[in-house]
Amino acid sequence: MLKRIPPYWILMAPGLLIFLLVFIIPVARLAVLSFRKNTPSGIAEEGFVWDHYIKFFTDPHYLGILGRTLSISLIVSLICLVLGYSLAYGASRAPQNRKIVLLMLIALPLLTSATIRNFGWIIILGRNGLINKALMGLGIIEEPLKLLYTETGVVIALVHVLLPYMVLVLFSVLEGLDRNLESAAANLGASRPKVFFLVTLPLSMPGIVAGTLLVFSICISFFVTPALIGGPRVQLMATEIYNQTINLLNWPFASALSMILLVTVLIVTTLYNRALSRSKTGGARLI
Amino acid sequence: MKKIKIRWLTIVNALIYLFILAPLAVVIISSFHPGDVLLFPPKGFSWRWYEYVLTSGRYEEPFVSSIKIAIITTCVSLPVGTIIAYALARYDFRGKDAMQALFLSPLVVPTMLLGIGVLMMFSAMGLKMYFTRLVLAHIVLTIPYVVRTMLASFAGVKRLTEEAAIVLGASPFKTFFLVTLPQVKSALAASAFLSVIMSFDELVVALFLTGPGLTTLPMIIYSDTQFNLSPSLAAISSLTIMATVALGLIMVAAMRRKKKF
Repeated sequence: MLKRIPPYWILMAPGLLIFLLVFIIPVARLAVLSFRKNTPSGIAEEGFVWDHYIKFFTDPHYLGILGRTLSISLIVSLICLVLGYSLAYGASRAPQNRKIVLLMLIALPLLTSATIRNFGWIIILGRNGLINKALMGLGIIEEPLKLLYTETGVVIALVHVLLPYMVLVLFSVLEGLDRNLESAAANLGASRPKVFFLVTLPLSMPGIVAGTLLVFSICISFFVTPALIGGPRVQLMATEIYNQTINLLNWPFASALSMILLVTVLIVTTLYNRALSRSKTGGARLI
Repeated sequence: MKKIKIRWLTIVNALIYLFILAPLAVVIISSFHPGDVLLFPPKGFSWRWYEYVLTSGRYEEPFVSSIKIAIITTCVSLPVGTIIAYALARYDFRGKDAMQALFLSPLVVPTMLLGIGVLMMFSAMGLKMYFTRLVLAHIVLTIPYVVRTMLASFAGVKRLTEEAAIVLGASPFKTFFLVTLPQVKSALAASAFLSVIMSFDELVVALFLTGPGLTTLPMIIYSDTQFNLSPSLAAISSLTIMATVALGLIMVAAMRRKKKF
């Protein structure tokens, strides 16, 4: 009997069982729950209502949260792109032995948790933090700047958390570029900026698109930074889902929010994979 | 002309490296402040808060829980993920792409959804089991890292050596354990390392799935960052940074030495 089952299904069976019980069923239940009515005595056992989705898409408060999430993610992705391109370009042109050190400097923060890195930003951005003390000490400002619990603070901390991902994607693309093309352009008389803008930049386009989409997709569902640096004033999708689940216990609505977030992430990820498959060099496929 | 441009890039990049390292440096430096209130730059130097972290007992239980969770998680996700990767690397079958997408999908699906989904499922069944449900969720979260690392590594194993072993009469089991696995040792180590770190550092799912009596180290660091900024928080954070970075450096060094021989 066992012989009839192909060996690969037997090898994958334990994983499939775990994924079915702890991943597929729970997430599918969320999808179902998002259509259940929330009654004062608890969640309705049956029925199919669009109430929670209608509530989300008609209430300016919730639409504002989605809009803020998307716009902050866009800004963060673009800043990461500019900073990340500069780092990846520098690292890909560095001598071989320095390359590894530079890449490790970039990747090592990934090993430490986002909470700890955000804690560092609280010390720097706080009312009596490093930046305010320095600026006031230099006499540039008289009142401390408000950085913590603002969108600016959230953007700074998110850029810091997500920059390594951008650099790693861009680096793999820039490393794979045919450098002869640059030399050829330079030999034919193109100036350095011209070589960069007409040869290097267009050739690294797939990496640019992929890196931006990757950072964007992680950013829209990121929880820790808006919770710690944003506080109650900067509500994003992730913090609102947490709030609805843990504090307000409105599970059907939280499920609907989760589904909206999931669909957004999946759209961005599909675009990301499509962008990467167009690049021959990209090695950072997510799925 | 040429040299000046190169320096420009170097200066800008040096500033970005400063930006990357500053928050970590600030945490470590402020952990040496002797006073009771978190201060940067610190006034004076003392090991007082490290002593407090190591002897007060406040962090002991969360630390032990986190280590336990990380180790049990890895003990499951490493073998399970490895055989999944082996099946995907060695066999061609219908639905293979879908299976690969499924086992990597926790990298894409927001982790929060996993936390909420498992929370709601367990409470619908009337079960608490805080420890078990957190470990199960961590297994799902870490399997993709194992699968991805091992897939790349199995692709590099020469089929010829495996075939030779089979031809010489070794069973598929023997071939796998005596011929295939030794060739992917460093990838196994890297997968185990990733899995331990991911589970040890994981916060979001833990926030949803723990309950009274179970707290993990990231949770206590998170709640202190939110409500109780103190030099002891800086000290425990610094210890965590040092430990993970040291582990990472050992891993990198070990893997590079392997490549040379």
